[in-house]
Amino acid sequence: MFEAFAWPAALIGGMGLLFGVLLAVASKFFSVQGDPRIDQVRECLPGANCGACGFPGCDGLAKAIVETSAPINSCTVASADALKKIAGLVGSNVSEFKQLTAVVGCLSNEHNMHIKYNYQGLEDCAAAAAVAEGYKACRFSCLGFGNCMKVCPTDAISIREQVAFVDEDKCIACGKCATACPRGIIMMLPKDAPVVIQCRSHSRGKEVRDSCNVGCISCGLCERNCKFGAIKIIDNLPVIDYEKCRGCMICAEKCPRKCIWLDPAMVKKAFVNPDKCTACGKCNTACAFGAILGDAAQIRQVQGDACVGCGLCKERCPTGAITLIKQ
Amino acid sequence: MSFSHLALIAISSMLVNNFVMAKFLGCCPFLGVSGKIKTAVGMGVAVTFVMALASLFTWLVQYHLLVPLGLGYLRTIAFILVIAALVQFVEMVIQKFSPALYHSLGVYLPLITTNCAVLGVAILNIDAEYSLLEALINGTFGGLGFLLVIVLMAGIREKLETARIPAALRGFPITLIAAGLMAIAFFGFSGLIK
Repeated sequence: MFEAFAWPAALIGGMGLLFGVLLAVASKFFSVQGDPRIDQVRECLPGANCGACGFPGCDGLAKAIVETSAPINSCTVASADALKKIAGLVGSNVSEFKQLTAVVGCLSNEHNMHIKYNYQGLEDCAAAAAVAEGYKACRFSCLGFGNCMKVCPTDAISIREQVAFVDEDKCIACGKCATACPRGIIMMLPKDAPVVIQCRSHSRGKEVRDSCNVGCISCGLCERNCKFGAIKIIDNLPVIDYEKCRGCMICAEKCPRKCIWLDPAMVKKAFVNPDKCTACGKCNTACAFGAILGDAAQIRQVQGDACVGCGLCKERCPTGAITLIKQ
Repeated sequence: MSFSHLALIAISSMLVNNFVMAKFLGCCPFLGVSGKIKTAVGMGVAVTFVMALASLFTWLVQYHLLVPLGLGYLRTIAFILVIAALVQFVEMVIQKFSPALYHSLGVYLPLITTNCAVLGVAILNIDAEYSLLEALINGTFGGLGFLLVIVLMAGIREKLETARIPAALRGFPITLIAAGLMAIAFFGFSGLIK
C-alpha cells in the first residue's frame, strides 16, 4: 500500500527536484551579461504583460526603453511614480510624458439623438453598425451596445442612456476600447485635458443639426475664439492641439451646441500678491483678455470675471507675484 | 523498418493528420500568432524545434523511467514536467550560444511550453507505440506541418487585410472561416495514403 504512493511521489518529486537543480545550475552556467538597467526598468513596470505598449510583454518594453530609448510612457498602465523612477534610471525627463485616458466622443443619448428605426438585432455595436449605418441618425454616433465595455480589462466603461462612458480613474489607457469601437469614436487624450470635443461627426453642419441636438456643426466659433491657435477645424470637426491649449475654456463657453466638455477642476483664476507686485505693468500687456486692473504705479488686481486662468501673466511676471488658483 | 515506412509516418503527421487541421491541436498559436508571415515563421520554427526535442525526451522518460517502474499512468504530468524543463533549458542554451536564433524565436519559445501540440505529439507517440526513431520523425514532421499551416494562414490573413469583407465578418470571424476552409482543403490529403 505504502509503495503505491511512495514510488509515484518519489518519481515526480525527484524529477521536479532534478530539473530544478539542473535549471538552477544551467542558469548560472549559461548566464548572459545584459544591461543591468533592463532588469531595474523591468522591476518598475507592472508585469501584467498586457501588450498595450506594442512590445512583447514587459520584458520587451524594458529592453526597448533601455536599448532603443522607446518612450517611457509606452506603458500606459504604470503609475506616475513608476514612470518617474524609470525616467531616473535611463536619464530622461518624465514631465514630457503625459498620462492618457480614453474618452468617448459622443453625447447621443435618447434626448439628444434622433432615432432612425427600432433596432432589434444582435446586441453588438459592429452588428448594429452594419444595419443601414446604425439605428441612430448620425453615422458617427455611439451605438451603446458596449463593445468597448466588453474589452475593457478594468471595467472602466459603462453604458449610460445608450452612450458609453469612461471612468477616468479606472482607465489605464490600454487603448483596447478605441480599437474595439466599430465607429472609431473613442479617443486617447491626455488625462489632464481641460477641454474635450465630445463629437466625432465629420458630417456637415446641416446634416448634424437634423440628426442630433448636441453634435458639432463645425461653425468654427471655437477656432475663431481660441486666442492661442490651439483649435483647427479639420474635416468638419475641431481638433485641439493640447500642446498649445492653455485651458482658458473660451471654446467651451462659446460653443453654441455645448458639445465641448470642460473639466471643472481645471478652472483657474489668476491672483496678484500685493506684497510682491512692483507695478511694472508687464501683466497688462501680456493679458489677452483685459483682465488686469490698474495702471501706472498702482498695485495690479485681477478682474475675476474676465480672467480665464490661462497663465500668460504669470509667465511674464518678473517677481513671481501672480499665482493661479483653482476655483 | 523500411524507409517507406518512415516516409509514411512523416507525410502522415505533416499533411494527412496535420496537428492543427486534422487533430485541432495547437489552435491557440495558430490563430494568435498568424497575423504576419514573419512572426508565423518564428513561431512555426520554434514549435518544430520543441516538438522534435519533446518527442525524443518524453520517449526516453516513458520507456526508461515510467514503464520499468510500472507508473505509466503518471505519463501526462511527467511529460508536462519534462517539456517545461526542457523548454527552459533550451532557451538558456540558445540565448548563450546563438543570440541570433534566440532573438528570432523571441517570446515564442517560452510560450510553447504549454502548447497542446507539443504535449499531444508526446502522448500520441506513446499511444501509437512508436520506436524512438519513429517518434522523432513524427515529432519533427508534425512540427513542420504546423509551420506549413501557420505560414499559409499568415499569408491568407495578410491578404485579408486589404480585402473587402462585410463589416460583420471583419477581423476574427473571417479568420475562423478561412481556417475552416483550410481544414477542409487539408481533408483532401486523406486520399494521399492508401
